[in-house]
Amino acid sequence: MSLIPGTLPSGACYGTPQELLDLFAQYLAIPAFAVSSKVLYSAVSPSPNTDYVWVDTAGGDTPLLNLYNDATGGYEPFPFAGGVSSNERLISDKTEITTLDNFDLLLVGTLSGGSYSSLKKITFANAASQIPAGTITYPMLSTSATEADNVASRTAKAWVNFDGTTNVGGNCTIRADFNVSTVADNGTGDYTINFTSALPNANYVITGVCSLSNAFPSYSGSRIPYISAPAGIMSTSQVEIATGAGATNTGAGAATDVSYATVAIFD
Amino acid sequence: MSTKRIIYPNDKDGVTILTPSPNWKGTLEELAVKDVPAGKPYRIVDGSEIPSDRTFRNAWEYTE
Repeated sequence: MSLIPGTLPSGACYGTPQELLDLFAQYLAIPAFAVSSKVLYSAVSPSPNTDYVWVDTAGGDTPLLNLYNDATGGYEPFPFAGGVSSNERLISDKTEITTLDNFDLLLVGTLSGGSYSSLKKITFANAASQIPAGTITYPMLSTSATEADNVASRTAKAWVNFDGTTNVGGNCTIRADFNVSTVADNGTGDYTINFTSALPNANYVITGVCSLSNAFPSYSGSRIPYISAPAGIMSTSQVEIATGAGATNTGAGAATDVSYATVAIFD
Repeated sequence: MSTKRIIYPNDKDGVTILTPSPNWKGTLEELAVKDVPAGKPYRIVDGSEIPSDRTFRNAWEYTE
């Protein structure tokens, strides 16, 4: 099935929901759009001659593709002038709906023996403001091998802000985190960050900053957490870091506890 | 927010203190199984049992 961008299909438009989706994307001359988490009902054995396409455009504009009306034998804007017949219901989660958001595409099956033969709802947007809240989840982010298209690599896989000086009194040593199960205090200025979910590989990047050493508040040396690897641990499940302070650029440093340690990990 | 901590002897002749994330949804026992190195003994203690003076932090020892 093919369609020249910018033209409407002539006659009936047959195909599986995915084919119709591809056709629609081709018609709009857009390379691709994501299928959102609002897919309500996956197509089940779609019948080629009973799958219809409906597209609602913003604010009552002329629909790009219309719903096929069995009663009149042609494509018409929804709702039909004579009302929706029993065979052309737009349904959402098995409940008939009469209005559509301006970014909804419905692939609608027909009633067959009292049940809907197929239905697929795809929500997409042509502007950021139209993306429904909660529909873009991490698994939907692109992991393309092409750097410019890889969105997942731009997100932190884990991060944590913790106090490395206290374990007592009910103080929350971990102030905030993402994908961190525990912070291990191994000794003075020695911490292991354990990940809730393992990272894809151990070749990640760590970035971090910590507060001035409590023990050496006047020192101007290193205050950035450093990785303990290779002597320490840097694996898919945890990373060991250390904090310290040096008196001079060349002088000996010392491991020290810090009250603010902030670390983020990218992969 | 839990004030519990998990302690275990580490490989540096000291003791490690695990602080759970406030976002951890499981139990402390599950957390210990996950984050305490295999084969290490561990104890779940209240944070108040841990010394607040860290002057000799590296000299702390794990006791059963």
